[in-house]
Amino acid sequence: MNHLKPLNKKAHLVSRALDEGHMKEVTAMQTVVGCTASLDPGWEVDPFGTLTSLCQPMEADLYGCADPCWWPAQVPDTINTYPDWNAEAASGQNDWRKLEAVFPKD
Amino acid sequence: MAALDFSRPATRAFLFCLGLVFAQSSASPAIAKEYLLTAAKPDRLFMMDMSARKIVREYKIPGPMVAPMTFLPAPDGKTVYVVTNYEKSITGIDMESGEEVFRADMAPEFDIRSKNFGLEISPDGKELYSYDVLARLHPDRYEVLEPRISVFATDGGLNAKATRTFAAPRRIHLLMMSTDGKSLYALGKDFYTFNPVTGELLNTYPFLNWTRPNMSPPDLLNFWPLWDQTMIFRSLYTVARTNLPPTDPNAFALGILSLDLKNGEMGVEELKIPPEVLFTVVTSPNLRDAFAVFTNLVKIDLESGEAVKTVELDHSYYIAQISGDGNEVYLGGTMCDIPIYAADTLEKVDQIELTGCPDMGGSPLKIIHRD
Repeated sequence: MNHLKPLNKKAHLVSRALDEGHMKEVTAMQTVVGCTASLDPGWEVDPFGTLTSLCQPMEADLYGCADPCWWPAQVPDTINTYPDWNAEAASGQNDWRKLEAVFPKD
Repeated sequence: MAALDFSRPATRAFLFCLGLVFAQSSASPAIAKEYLLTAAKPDRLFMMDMSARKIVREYKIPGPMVAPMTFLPAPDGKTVYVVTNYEKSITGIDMESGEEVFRADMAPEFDIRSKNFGLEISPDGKELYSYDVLARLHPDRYEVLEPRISVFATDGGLNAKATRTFAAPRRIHLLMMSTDGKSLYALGKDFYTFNPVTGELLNTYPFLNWTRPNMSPPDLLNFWPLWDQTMIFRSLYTVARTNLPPTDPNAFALGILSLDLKNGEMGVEELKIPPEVLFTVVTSPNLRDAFAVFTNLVKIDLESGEAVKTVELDHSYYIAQISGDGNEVYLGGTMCDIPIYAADTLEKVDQIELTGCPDMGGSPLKIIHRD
């Protein structure tokens, strides 16, 4: 944690828990329970700090992770706000061009 | 027991009836055939005859939905229950007619959102169990509510209501029922055993909270019900040996968490194979071998804990399933192909591609038996 600087309210709470010795009470969510509920490195790195155990290719992993909201930051929130983001793209490998960026509605 | 007197009419009548019973038994209906089920985007359910290497039936899952994931066939193979409506409802499809015969909303209240994680059915097919993760939607925030297990009667029709609910710990993602129907197991942070009738928490098998010396808490991800052929659930976990520096080749290990649904035996055991990410493991009907998969397919000798053989795959798959005779391993999840591997040699022998090539994503492969 020496090299991490908290930027938001939740990160400050984690930092404070560390300072006050409560860190063992903070456990990363192991299981998928909806958007923003899991801590997962997603595409970037595997559990051993390498790239070799990531899903190959990335398109194979897209919907297995995006649809249950495992990747709440990397793709639109398919549970709460953009449930039909990939409705027209049933195949990640063939239809990826149909996956578009989303923007907040008025 | 008194000896039978064959000269007595009553004895002869008894033997005649016995003969009729045997004659009827030998004229019993044809042995049920094995099929493989999977679901794919946006709303497709496929039934495959793997011995014929073909899709025999396709179903449209009642929605709305764009991503089927959790589904569960009834023990008699006549109905399949699928989590639909963006994981807020359960639908039941008659496998003969393709019609919707069951529908339940997990949280009918307008301001409560429920997300299902874990679905199980009683051995007699009469009750469905759903693990519900609940949140109340306020105009300015979400209020996290207590999770629960809801129980539905499968004859509840198209507006089924929960017949009872009971509290369950957070972070559960897989429900499984003992073969005698007396224990409902829930895998989450730890492995919980409930009385499915009263909802009483009977036992907690420590997993994340284990206290094994020099072992970190284990890391596990599993929401795939893959015990069809043996009624033995197995899942891989990763663990770090805290008495070794992270640079030591033995610092990380893969292990197997097991639950025998026939007798309730649970256990954990580390394997003697180099750690890599493997998503699921399926036990062979020979009970000696297991097959684990992700970007590689690994055949594991459960006796020695060693890898017998490893082959690289065309791409990553989440799930390994196995045929009833133990001769073929089927891979699924992620994309739209289901390759078939010979269990003894791990040679790829064939594959089935789903119609239109839709992604399976996180959908499981399930075995059913039908006449």
